[in-house]
Amino acid sequence: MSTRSILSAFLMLLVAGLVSPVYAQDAAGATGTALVQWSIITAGFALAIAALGGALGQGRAVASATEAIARNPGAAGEIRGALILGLVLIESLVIYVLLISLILFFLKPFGG
Amino acid sequence: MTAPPGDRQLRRIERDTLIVGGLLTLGALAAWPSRPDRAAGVVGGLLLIALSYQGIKAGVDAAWSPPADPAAGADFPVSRPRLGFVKFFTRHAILAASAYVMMARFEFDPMAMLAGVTAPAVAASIESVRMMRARSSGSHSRLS
Repeated sequence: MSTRSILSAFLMLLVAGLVSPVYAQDAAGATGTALVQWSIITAGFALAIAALGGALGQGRAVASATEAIARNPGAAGEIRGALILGLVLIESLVIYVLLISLILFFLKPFGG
Repeated sequence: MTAPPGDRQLRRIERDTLIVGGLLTLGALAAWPSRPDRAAGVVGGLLLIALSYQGIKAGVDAAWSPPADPAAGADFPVSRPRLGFVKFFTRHAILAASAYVMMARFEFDPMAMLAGVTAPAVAASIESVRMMRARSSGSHSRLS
């Protein structure tokens, strides 16, 4: 069993463990309050995961661009342009999650 | 001094992003005339992605701009590296603060902000279609 499979199984267990208390609530008011609490916790996790993924992607992009420029300095201009575009597109995904997290934090669409 | 191909491509994408953002704003104004917060949200989303773009561009320019050679002429914009790195490393804090102010204080529409953030992705798609068409027609001169 590879490390990735173990990590995936652990993450699935973690998510299942985090989700199960939401279903344990019975009263309507308590469910609403729990939903608000869990939406805020979920927003935090979503932001953390988006930042992690974005950072990994941007790191790979910068590493590849640096390597490419070192191999072929004459193509530095084109590589730089592609790098900036790639970084902005990765960053836009992180901004999506930031906005959704801010919606959950401050606008509270589930009440609260 | 001629701009390198990467810069020309970036300028086209910048222009297309502004056009797409303008169209989205006008569409929001036309579709919801009584809800100016939606058009403002699109502009706010564009502003957020512009802040991010400026930060990334300044950081990349600061990291990769060669020393200025007045005789040869620089292919890269010669920038102040320190300011570029400051912009690059503080961009997330600036983004988060700006998004908070727009959303929680100015009450811009959040979905419209998401639409505004989408504009550069649409512009990049347009650019890729343009490149594919130029490649299939065998001419790169239209892109320059």
